Amino acid sequence: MNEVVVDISQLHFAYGGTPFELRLGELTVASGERAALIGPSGCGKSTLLDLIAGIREPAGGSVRTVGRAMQALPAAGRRDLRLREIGFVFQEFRLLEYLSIQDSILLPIRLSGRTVDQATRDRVRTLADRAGITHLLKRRPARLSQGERQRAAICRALVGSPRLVLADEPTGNLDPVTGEAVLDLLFDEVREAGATLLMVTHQHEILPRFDRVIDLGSLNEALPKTEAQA
Amino acid sequence: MTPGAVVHACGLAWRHLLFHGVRSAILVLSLAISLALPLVMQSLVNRGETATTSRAAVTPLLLGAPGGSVDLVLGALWFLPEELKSMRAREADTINDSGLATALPLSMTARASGNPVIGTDVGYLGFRGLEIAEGRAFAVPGECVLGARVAEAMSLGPGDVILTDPEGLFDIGGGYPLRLRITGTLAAGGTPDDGAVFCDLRTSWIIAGHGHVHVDVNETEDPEAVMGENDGRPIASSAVTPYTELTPELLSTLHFHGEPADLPVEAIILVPNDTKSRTILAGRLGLRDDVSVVYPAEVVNEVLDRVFQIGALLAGILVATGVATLGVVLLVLALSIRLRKDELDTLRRIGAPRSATVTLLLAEVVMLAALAGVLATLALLASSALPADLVLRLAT
Repeated sequence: MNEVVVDISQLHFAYGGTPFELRLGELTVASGERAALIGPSGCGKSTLLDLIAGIREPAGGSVRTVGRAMQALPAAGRRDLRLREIGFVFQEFRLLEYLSIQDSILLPIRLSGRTVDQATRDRVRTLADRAGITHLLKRRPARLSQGERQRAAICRALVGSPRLVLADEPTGNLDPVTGEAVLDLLFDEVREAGATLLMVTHQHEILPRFDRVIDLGSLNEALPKTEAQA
Repeated sequence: MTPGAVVHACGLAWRHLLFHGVRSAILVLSLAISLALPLVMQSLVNRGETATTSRAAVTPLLLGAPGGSVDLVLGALWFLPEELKSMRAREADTINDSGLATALPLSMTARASGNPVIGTDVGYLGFRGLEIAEGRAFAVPGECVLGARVAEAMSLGPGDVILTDPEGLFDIGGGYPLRLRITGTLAAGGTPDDGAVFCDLRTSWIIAGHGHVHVDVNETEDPEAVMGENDGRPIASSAVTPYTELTPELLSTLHFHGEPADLPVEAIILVPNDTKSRTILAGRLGLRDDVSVVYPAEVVNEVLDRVFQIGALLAGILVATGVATLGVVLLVLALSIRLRKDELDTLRRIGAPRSATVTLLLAEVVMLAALAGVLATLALLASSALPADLVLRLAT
């Protein structure tokens, strides 16, 4: 069996002051797996990504990400883990408006204090070539189309060669054609890097592309079950 | 957080400032003005105080006609265009004859190209420590030396001439301007002397119309100078030069309307031989009703007290304005951080160390403050080029 990259056990999380609750018995994602995370709005998909990445802390249970018990790590350790082992792709791209695309892609490297050497520059160039944005590296995000911005964001997520890529509806803001092209890029790059992909999506038509589909609506024990789920 | 990450966070802050260039420039300027105004004000007041008190301190006693002591001091020490009453020049002779002090009379009614023309004794230059930078001091009526600022501003030097301003531009019966020959220029001293023209006391009397020379139009080279004759006397035409020049030939015709000792001076600087002489002089002259003797240092201190009270009030207002501006700048920065919520959240999600985020925000504030500090310092340095007595001039 492949190495387990995400290992969740008896997870419990609640937002204070809201009725929202997330309760998961067991959930694992194996290395190299491409998993889609689906479920109705509000079932906790984005929250689960945050818990896996150590952005939020669970009230109970355990989350192990790339072999590290997140509860045992201090906040600084969890941040460092994200910076070095996890790549994030957001629905709204989240590129810094004042940085060029090249500097945006290099951001995780620089924030981790690593030197931007020739090898890193070559990697940026390779990623940009594959994403078809080499000619845009000197531009700022405002001058790029939505699809180009998401391509740049994918390059940023992958530049540090992460073991786990967490994508939160990366095609949610894109038209179908552009969305398809961005997905192609994401899948290709994740495969190329040998990384694991866990992606939140509402687009059921793309589910066949994944190795596995995780329906959080069914797994979240805190949610009232429909008759079919029961 | 590694040094590299700190440097990168600072780099991000710098790029953010550049990206929002207009906003950054406004913040920097606002901060710089808030910083610079009180500093420049304080610097000017301090320099003004030093310059003012030092000039007054080396002027032991001042004699003038009865009237305002402040006007007398401002006129005699700073040549400010006050309407001073005059007294007879013989007061200077009397003091010199007493053997108690040296008297340096000052006549300050004339101007040349807007600069005060100071008629005095050549000893005034030595008393004020004024060095001749070029040429020589004035020696005879019609000669003058220029203060450094006048010489530089008008690009004049020894051998050039300067015309005095007509007393009344539309008074066709008034005296002609006097064409002064420049014999020397003074070295800059950063004092009001830099902005004055110095000449012999007799020269200023001639300018004021208390004496004159006679020009023989028959001997002028211009054939148009004589329009005709009347009872054997030549009638000068309008071709006669519309100014007077005291050439060596004409000096022999110079005469005054009355005894020179009875002609007016506006002030006399008294340089007592010693403290005892000063006390005696002050006592004697203080008993008289027709003259006024003042200690310039005391008068200047009174003026400065008033100036500094106003200055302190102004400084207080500036500090209050600065604090308010700082508050607004902090508010803008706080709002900016709120607007950058998404950016900071992105950095957090990517995994940026908290210290990197804090450094990013702090570096931006430090850079803004540093740029404002540099601008304020430049303004402070630039203010040092202003005349040291500017505050006194503005205040009066």
